[in-house]
Amino acid sequence: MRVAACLLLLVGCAMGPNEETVIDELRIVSAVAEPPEVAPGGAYDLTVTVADPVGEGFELVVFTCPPAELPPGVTLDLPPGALDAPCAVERPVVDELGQAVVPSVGALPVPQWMVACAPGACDVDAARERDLRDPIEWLRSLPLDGVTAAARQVRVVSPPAEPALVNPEITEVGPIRGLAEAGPDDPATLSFVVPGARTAFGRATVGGFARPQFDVASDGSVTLEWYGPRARDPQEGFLYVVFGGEDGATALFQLAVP
Amino acid sequence: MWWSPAFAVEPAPPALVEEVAPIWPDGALQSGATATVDLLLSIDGNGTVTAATVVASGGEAFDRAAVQAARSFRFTPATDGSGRPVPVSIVWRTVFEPARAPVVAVEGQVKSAGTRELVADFDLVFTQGEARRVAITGPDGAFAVAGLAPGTWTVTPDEPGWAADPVPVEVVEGKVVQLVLRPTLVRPWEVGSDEVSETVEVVGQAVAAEVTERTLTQEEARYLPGTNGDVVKVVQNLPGVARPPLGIGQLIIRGTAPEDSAYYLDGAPIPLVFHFAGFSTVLNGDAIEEIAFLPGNYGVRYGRTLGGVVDLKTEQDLPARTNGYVSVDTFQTTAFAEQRLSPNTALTLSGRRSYADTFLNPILNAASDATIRVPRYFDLQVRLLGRTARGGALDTLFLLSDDRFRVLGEDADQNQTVQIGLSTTFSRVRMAWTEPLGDGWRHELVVGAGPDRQSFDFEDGVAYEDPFTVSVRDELLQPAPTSGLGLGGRLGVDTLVGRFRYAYEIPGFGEPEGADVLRFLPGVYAEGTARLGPVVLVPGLRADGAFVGADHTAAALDPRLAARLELGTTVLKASAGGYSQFPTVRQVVQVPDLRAQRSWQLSTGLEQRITPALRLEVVGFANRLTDLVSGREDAFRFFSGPPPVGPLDTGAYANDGVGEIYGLESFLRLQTERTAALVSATVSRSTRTDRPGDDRELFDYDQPVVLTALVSHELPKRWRLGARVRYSSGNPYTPVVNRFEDLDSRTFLPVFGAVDSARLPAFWSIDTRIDHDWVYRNWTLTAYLDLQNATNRQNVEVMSWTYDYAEEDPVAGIPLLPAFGFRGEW
Repeated sequence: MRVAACLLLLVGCAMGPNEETVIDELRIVSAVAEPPEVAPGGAYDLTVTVADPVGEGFELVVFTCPPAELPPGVTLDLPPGALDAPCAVERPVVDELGQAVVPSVGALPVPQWMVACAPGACDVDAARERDLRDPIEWLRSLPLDGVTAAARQVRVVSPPAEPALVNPEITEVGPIRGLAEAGPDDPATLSFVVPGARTAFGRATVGGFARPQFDVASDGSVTLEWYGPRARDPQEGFLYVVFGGEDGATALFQLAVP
Repeated sequence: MWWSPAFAVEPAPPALVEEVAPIWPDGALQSGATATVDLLLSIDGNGTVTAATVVASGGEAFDRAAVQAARSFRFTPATDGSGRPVPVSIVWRTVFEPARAPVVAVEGQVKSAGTRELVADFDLVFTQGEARRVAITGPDGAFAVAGLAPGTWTVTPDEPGWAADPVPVEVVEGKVVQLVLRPTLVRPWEVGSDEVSETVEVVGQAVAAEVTERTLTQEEARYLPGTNGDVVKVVQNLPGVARPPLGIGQLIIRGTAPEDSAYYLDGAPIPLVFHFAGFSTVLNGDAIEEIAFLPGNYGVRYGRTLGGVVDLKTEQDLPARTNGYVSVDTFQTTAFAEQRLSPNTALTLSGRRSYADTFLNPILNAASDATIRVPRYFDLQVRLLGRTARGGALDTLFLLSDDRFRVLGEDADQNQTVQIGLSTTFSRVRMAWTEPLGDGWRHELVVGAGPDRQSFDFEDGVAYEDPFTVSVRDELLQPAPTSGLGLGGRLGVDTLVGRFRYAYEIPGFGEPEGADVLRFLPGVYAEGTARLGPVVLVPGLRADGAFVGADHTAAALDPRLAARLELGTTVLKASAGGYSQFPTVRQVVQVPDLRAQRSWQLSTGLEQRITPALRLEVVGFANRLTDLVSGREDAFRFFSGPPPVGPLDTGAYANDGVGEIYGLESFLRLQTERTAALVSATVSRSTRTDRPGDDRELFDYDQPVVLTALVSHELPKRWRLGARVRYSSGNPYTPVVNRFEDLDSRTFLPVFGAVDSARLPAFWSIDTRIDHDWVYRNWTLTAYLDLQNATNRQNVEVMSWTYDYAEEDPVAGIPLLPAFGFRGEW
């Protein structure tokens, strides 16, 4: 939309990539499925990471609702009654790093929805089955502030691919240069080697990355530039680097700063 | 000769002191013709003849000679009973006697400085000491004066509104001095109205051609603020026209989309009327004689559209002389030239090229990784106009228009590629033949032919529409009389035929589409006009068909009726009728059984001439739309404005939509010799229901209130000032009430609220303009400064959002935009 508007206006539009890397409110950063690809009805663990820069705390809800019917042309060997099951709702415990592991069974080719709510922002208990089956409609009833939502669809294939899809593996971290000295004008660099990754997405609750995403070289190496915070901004927080691989394969690097 | 006092108050009538013999008209002396002319002379308190009016003619040429001679007479002042000089009028008889024919001493012409136009009825005063002679130019601007004593005479113009330095003339006995004078028109409003500039008419709401007219002079249109001198852009200020977002220049007429309105060039359809972003019209304004703006309830001459009609009618008079201009302004350079090739033919050449890109590109690209190419456009017109012996015309016009906009980038190998490209090109050969047939009937044949191409390139995708169209309009017309009883009529054929190729292959916009089909759109119409004294009735019927490819056939029958009651300075009018618009080619290729979209329109109103200079028009209208084509809002299409956002109807095309539009338009216009002012107000509501059972929603461009006031005032010494104030309600938009991030694509997606349930802030703008002319011997230089959005108000044109949809990030329109330019005219 913004691009379209810029096209029409022709002047005065400067994209701001840096701001996209800055997390200044509750945000679901990543959802890593392990394994990243399962057979219909299969099991996997979904690790959800939530950034909470304000530090007020939050409640995380993860729910999955079976579709009324499979999309045209999609045939899967589903367990009996898979499409008639009620929505699976999880309210996992979140650790001090903002991470929660949600074990999932009975995988279906539908998105899993994650909603993180600041205290008092949404009444999860009041969310009816009908709301959960239509997350968009439920989101319409929730406030914009204090609520963050995300969707993730784990790859469900039948029969399983050969070789099996795996998440990227962070084999080497570093060198990380200038982290302590980095400022709004002096970036630090974070280097990684992550075989299987294609793109690295930088996010931060303190400071910000130079770009929202960085291309990963074919040997898995990538270097991200991170700018430190301005004096008036928060000085403590987390840096997140989400590595995206093929077909939704994901890995997360999380670093506390300073 | 004799005289008799018409003012016979005692004690003393004026007595003739000096009489000047009249000059004989060319050839009259040799042919032996004679004449007698009676004049009414106005004599002031000094005994000077200030005016001479013919009361008994001896023929036009003799009258003119008699008047000129009498204006040089000198009398003793008439006096009243107390001996005080008083002005009087007397009747004077001039008898042309060959024996008294004087010898011409000075002859010549008067040409307007700058334009070189010959000036008729222009008074010149020759003085030498106490001696005084007056010369008056004839229709050809020529003058002659006789009876001047040898020596130096001083020639001074004596004509209101004109200025020139006195010119010394050395008169030698036995010789005729040749003289060309070039006075400057400095106060045009003091000149008789017949000498004011050429007129361009904007004809509005004409249920029949002669029912309602809104007339603006070309000079007014050129100098109105906010138009950059473009006469067609004046239409944007008229009632019924909503303000387009981002100043894109498209016309949103009576609550319909820009693509629902049609544009014509002398009755032949053209795909667009404005260049990109509405900077300029695709046809040079100096080639336009009349702009017919028909917001609705128009006659059967026009069809296949639910919205309004703009018909640009080219100048039909041959130029009196070779003329032209070169205009250079902030955005573009324009050149125009007219050349008379023979007594009955003339050639017109015109071209325009924008160059905002040359200075905006470096500015934009300094802050971007991409290479942006600001829109550039050009147009070209070549026209050959010939008048036939019977008073008709044979007119051939070639028109080419080209608009392009690109964003360039580099691929992995650092080769420059087009990331985004948008272009609109069309050309037309338009041939028009008009001929009177006798008994008041007139025949008009207009054939237009040419290709269009609209294309969009976006990274790995491309979309284009590539029609070739031949249009034929053949019409017989007899206007109804302007008073009394009488009938008129109109019979016509309005047909389009051609090939239509298109492809839409833009990733993210559904499956690729494409076709190459023939289309044939025949249309016939008939209209009668009955005048019954003050009542005019105009019933009409139009039938249209559509044949696209092998599968699609549709038809439409549109009856229409207009009525008009003329009561002195008040005119009441009403009209009702059916209007049809066929689905687009891509729609019928996908769903061949689509029908024509329909609109039933009703309007009524009045025109009131409050004073000779002040007119008011009020019109109420209501339109009911049915069979509107809904669906596939997710498919790519060429938008004339911002693309739709919010929940999209992705179902198949169907005639499921309905709509309602109603409103009230008022138009107050002041036209004096020095001042042109318009106040235009429109109050309206436009809604749509896309599918049965859906909620009724606001139309995307629904603007409940649109107000425009503008004034242009002419100052002495060829200065002009103008200002325009505009207000319009903001367009509706669909708000974002929440959002979520798709972690697979790492993009935020919006959760929209109710469709069009929010509205952008209202638009306010003040535009000002100042012009000045410098008049030289053979040409005129005009400079202007046009300040658009003079208060630099940040008007919200389009709603946008931050990347995560957490906040609204409105896109503001054009800030304070100074546009200046020069125009040299000869």
